[in-house]
Amino acid sequence: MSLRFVFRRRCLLVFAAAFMTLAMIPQQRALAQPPNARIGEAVPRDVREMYDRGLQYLANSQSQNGDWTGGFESGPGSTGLALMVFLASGEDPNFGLYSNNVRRALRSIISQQDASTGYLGNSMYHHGFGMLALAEAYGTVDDRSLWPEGGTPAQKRSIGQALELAVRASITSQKKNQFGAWRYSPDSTDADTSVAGAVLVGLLAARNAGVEVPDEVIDKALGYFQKMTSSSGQVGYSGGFGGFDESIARISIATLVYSVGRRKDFPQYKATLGYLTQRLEAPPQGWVEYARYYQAQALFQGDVEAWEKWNKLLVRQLKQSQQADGSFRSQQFGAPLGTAMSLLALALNYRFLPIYER
Amino acid sequence: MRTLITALLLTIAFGATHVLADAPEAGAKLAKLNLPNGDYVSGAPIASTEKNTLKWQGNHFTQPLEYSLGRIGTVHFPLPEPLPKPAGEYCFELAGDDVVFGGLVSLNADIVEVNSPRFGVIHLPRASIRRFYRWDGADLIYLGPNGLTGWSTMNQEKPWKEDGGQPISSIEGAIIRGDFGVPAQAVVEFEVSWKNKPDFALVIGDNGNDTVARQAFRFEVWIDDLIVQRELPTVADVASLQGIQPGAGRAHVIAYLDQTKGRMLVYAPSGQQLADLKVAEKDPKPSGGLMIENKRGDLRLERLRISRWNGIPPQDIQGSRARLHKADGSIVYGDIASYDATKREFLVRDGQTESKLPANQLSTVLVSSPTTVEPRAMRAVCHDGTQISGDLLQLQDGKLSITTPGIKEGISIPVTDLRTVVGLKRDEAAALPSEIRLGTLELDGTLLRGGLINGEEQADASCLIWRPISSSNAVPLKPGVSGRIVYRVPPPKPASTQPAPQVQRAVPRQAGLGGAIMQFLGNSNNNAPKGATGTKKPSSHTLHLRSGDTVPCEIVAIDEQGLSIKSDVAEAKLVPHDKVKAVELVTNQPPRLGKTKRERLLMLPRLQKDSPPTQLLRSINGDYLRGRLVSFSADKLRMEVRLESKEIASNKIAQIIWFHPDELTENASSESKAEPNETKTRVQALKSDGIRLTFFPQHLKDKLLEGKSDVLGACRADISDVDQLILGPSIEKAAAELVYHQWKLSPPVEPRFVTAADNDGGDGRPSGLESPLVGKPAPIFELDQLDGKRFKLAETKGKVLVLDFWASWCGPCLQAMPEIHRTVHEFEDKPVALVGVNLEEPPSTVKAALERHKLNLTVAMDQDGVVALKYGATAIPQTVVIDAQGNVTRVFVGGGPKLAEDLKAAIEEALNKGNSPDPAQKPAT
Repeated sequence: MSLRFVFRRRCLLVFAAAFMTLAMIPQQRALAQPPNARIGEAVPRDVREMYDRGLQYLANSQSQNGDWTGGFESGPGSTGLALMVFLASGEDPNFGLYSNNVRRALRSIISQQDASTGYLGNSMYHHGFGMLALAEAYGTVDDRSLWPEGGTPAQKRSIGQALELAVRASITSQKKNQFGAWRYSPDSTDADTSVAGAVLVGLLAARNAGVEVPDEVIDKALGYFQKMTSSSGQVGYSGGFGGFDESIARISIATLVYSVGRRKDFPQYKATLGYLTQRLEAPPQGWVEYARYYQAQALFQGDVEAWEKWNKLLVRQLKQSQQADGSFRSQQFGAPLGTAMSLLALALNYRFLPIYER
Repeated sequence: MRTLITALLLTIAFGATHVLADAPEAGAKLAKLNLPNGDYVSGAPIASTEKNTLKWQGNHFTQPLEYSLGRIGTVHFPLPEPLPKPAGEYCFELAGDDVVFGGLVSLNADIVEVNSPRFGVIHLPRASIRRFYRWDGADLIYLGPNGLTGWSTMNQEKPWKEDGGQPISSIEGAIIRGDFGVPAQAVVEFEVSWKNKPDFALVIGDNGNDTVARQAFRFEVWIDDLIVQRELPTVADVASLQGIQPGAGRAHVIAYLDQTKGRMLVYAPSGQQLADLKVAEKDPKPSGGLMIENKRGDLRLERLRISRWNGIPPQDIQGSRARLHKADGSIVYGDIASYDATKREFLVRDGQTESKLPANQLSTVLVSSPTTVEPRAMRAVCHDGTQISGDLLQLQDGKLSITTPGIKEGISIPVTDLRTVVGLKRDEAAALPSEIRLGTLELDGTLLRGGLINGEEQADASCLIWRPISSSNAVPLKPGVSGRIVYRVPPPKPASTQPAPQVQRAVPRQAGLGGAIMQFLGNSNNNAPKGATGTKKPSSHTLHLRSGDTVPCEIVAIDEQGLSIKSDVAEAKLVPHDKVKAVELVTNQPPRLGKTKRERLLMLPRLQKDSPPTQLLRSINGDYLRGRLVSFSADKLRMEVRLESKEIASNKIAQIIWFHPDELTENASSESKAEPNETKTRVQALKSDGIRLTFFPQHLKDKLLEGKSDVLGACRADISDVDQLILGPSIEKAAAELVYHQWKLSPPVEPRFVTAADNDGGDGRPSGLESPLVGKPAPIFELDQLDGKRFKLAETKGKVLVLDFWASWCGPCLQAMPEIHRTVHEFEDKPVALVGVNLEEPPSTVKAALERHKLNLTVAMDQDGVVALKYGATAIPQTVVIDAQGNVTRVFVGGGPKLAEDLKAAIEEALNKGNSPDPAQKPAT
């Protein structure tokens, strides 16, 4: 193996480490998917118990400010992922058991948004996942009870305002990007499929929630993914070409953006989905929780039967790794983020989140 | 090295024996008690005040065994190294083969007074002394045997062993050779013994060459005679030394050999000449080696003494008259009347004649003729060659007290000085009471025939109480001991070992998973042997547990919780999966597969690494299917195969074998696990009907052993029906040999690059030497600092500089930065500096990030990314170490838990390089 190869692998790891947030799609019509409209059988009891214990952990470990510290990296993206766990639980976000956790998390995300640019925090990963969480909350969480009385009205943006601002920031960043996609910094000229996935899923969720996102923006980003997808279904990492290897996470991201972007007609979609369904048991190479988070959605969107099989394996594995306090200790992400991503992978069993609709 | 270890072991063993009486368990565990029937017990003797009784604390027992000396064979103690040499001017040989060393104090008609370094002043009745001789240590070349030290085994497959310091062999054709420096003129005294009629050759004057050995003087057994012979191409001679009877026996001779003259004289210990051979070579080449070949039967070398010979043959002896051999070889007949210790002179009287003889002219004094002595209870042999036989009075404070007819005083010998204790009398053969079933207890270092008597389990003593045939008491085993009790050997093989019928596959394999399952079922239909399918009687199933238990039962159902069973022999209704190894639904067809097919079947695919199959099904006609058993009932079995759920008719299944995650890791590391230290007695009873049950016994009463199993509930075993009881950790070892326990998944084979990465740097992390920058001068740059100053790389020469390329949006950078900061801070009293190079961010962002992470360090602002480009920082964090000469020594890309460690080592290396400049190093170009 050449030095160059080693170097390249290392770079991938380094960059993979830097993100993590995921996006879900948005919009939320309370009537669109009543709880009794779940597909298939009732959620098995062991899944419910596991999910509830995880929720309990997140509720207990949330800081006063509404974010989660002590894990991999705090910020709007990490907060957003944990927020979605609550939104996906089926509990009423305005009056239910966790309504307070939901409001605190939303306030934390919005407070960290740059009021003029709309940029959500530390990197475009956070931006993407934060935007996704806002989109999922938009229309579900009542803005009127979001902020306490007093304070500066300018800081107390509504969820819709924050989401629109975030979409605008994403579009601005994409315009500056030669690949029509995104990387860590809003000003990056380079792009990668991992950060781009976070932002694009956030945008798709925003569009589904009713925020205007020009088709051109989505098409350009999907075009980037097409270019990064090989005929085998493997998806490259960064730059404008090549470097394919087996990353279940990236292959899942591509599958997800093609299907949520309504482009199941792409040959690339068939390739990536085929790759995933052929390797349901394949263990992810590192960043396991991140891979599972996307794999769950990609399989669910692409092939419900395959998802059902894979979900059995997921449930089995998560059962073995859940800690006594309800958390999932991720080697790379730490407990809060590891728990959030693990539970979101499991949340496909509930399908309360709009982004989980098929 | 080996010597050192041995010495250490002995030091430990002997140090401990000083407190032997108090703490026998800590004592010389290397000591071994051998019984006449071939049994043995490792342990140590402990205090006893009963005459001619040995109390022996076996290593595996809670109380000492008691033996009458008439029931013991030998006790062998570990050897010190080097062997101590006897101290004293004279060696006194007494009746009963006793040997004492010491100086002569006085002598009269009745008593010889001896000052013995070992025993002090002692008085020997003159009638008990057979002879004494001047003990000149300088002439002694070898006194042994000293185990196999000095000997080489010629064929590793036909080894000699050592037992109690004595070389022994019962292997046909086993040869040992050694160069012991036998001089050209030598006295070689040896004593050998055997249990059955021997056939051996002992060669003196060997040099490792077979021709030389063939033509040297050889002691051999010819049919019923021990002979000595030498055969050269043209001349030969032979003489018979003694007859050899069937059964046990011994031979003891003293050979005077002159290799240059080709002469050998052989004497019995009594002084009687047995042979005088003269077979000379033309061109003699004396050799100093010995060779012993055990041709057949068995042989033990008990004594070997090699000393220099002055070439003067012992003179012929006239009857058994008292006489003196002088150092010049001449003989003076007569009795020694007295000894003047001050003048060192003997007064010799022959009839009316008296003469004086200076002590330094004396060689050997024959004092009295050998007479038969009364059998004695025991003999103690010391490491230095001292031997005392007599009655054992007691063992107290680590010393044996012995009375012997040959010495007026009672004497005592520290146990640490003992090489061997031999029981000389034979009591009548002992027998077990008829109500005890006879078996053999086999433990590490112990083999004892006997039987179990009634017992109750105690915290510190097992309910297994062993009554050896030959001891006078019964003693409990220690709880948790490992080994077995064998009642019937070999235990009959379970009925399930006939080869399974091989089913020919006529049907081509269908593609895909569905195909495999169709085939699994299809073959079953086509080839189902009649009678094996259909309804089964309850209890026709067999459950095999991981512990080796074999339980006949009916498998009622299997689900996530475990196996629901009904059994006549076990109380349990539910057996958890983690205890189960296999279930036989059809019991007469054990799984059989060719090696290659089996390995393929048991190789875990890499893709299933995180989701390994947990069971293997075998159909009634030999098809196999791996998967995850979901449920089983009388009519159907549900299995998840590659995440798909499949249903199979239960009557198509012959066996289900369980795979366990720890079996995979067991395979991966071939190192054997340390035996768990058990504190409770655990047995596995192998019954004669093939049932095996593992349980913790609570008591044994009237041959019924009762207890409780973790898995099966209350259990019992009737000792009358048991072939073996396996004890403690040996249960798992025995289980590992069972048929179903061979069926384990083997770990997936990883691609080579994964393995290669694992070998590089220990854990696959790069060493920091991969970058092309390493070894080259650091690219020069200047940048503005966050604090407004100007950073110039050129000005840092003489210091070790650490550059950390980072940005506030890079999570791993912010994770790594405090680590890097802390690491560099450890070198604050050394010329080491840290500079963070920020990539293309506005000062406000950088300041905010530093504040948020409470970091205080020099930051150079790489506004345009130019420096990052120069340093190839395409991925961050990137940490660069530059030595005092300005050369890059390491480039670490990425953070991670080991970065601090690697960075510290790199800084230290760079500092050391600065301290000792390598003059050979060329200036970087």
